[in-house]
Amino acid sequence: MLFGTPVWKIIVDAYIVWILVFFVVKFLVSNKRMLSIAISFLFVYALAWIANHFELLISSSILTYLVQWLPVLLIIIMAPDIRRSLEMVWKGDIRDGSFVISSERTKNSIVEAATTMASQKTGALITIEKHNTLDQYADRAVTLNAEVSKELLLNIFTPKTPLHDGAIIIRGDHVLCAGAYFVLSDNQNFEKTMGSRHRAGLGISEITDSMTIIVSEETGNVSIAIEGIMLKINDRDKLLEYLNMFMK
Amino acid sequence: MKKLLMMIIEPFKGFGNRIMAEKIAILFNRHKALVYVFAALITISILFVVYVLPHILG
Repeated sequence: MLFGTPVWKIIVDAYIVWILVFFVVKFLVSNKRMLSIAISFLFVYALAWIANHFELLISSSILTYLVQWLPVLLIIIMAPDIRRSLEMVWKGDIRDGSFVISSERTKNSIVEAATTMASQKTGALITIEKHNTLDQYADRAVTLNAEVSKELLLNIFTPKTPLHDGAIIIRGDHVLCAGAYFVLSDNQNFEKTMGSRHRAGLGISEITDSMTIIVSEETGNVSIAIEGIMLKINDRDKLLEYLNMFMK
Repeated sequence: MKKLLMMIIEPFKGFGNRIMAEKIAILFNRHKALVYVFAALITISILFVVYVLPHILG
């Protein structure tokens, strides 16, 4: 007996609590947006505790009301992120095996295709996977597993074809899938006029370590989204340089 | 409805700023074992509050 409770009960209890806590922690740290909301919630709960402890009449009644509704607000606003985080907790976000290195030919094909599509003002969304797996997006898209070539990329993004609207995901030297859809970025600093293609590219870069090349349908500009930052790149060599840095 | 909810939650989102969240996420991504250790620490704290603290307070 320990503290009036059988030891085996404490051990089993500790084990179950540890598993639950582990999943909650993993769930939160798997998504930066979820984590920032969780930090905000902690702040609100701390504030509510302080208000209650010091019996601050108005703020404690407001904060108590807010604390009750916060979980509901979280579910409504963060539904796509919650879904993604849950998937990552179960499936894991890191691919088995090491990062797949792409050949020079693949990099050149991507650059050639991007510059050709930019000159033709053909919209494109090309996401290149790094360490974080993009399997959860590939599962819902059209599987290709085809070798990367300029012709294939141009064909996929040809307007009015079935696959042109989504993103393609590149893993190593292969186009894993086409027609993939990502969670859009809600970055408020982002230009309001930017289309959903750019927001999708930025969105995936915010939650994974992938790099996305976006070709604008309206302007023919080429941009890359990486680590939640969007850079406009209209120079072929600069794009190749970024690809070399990312895919090395 | 969603806009109204966003108006309520936006200031708190601002507080839980991305930089802090990003630093924590990067730290946990770099050191995978940290999730296990952190979960263990929280578990120990919960066990302490539930089993030990009532005995200490009498």
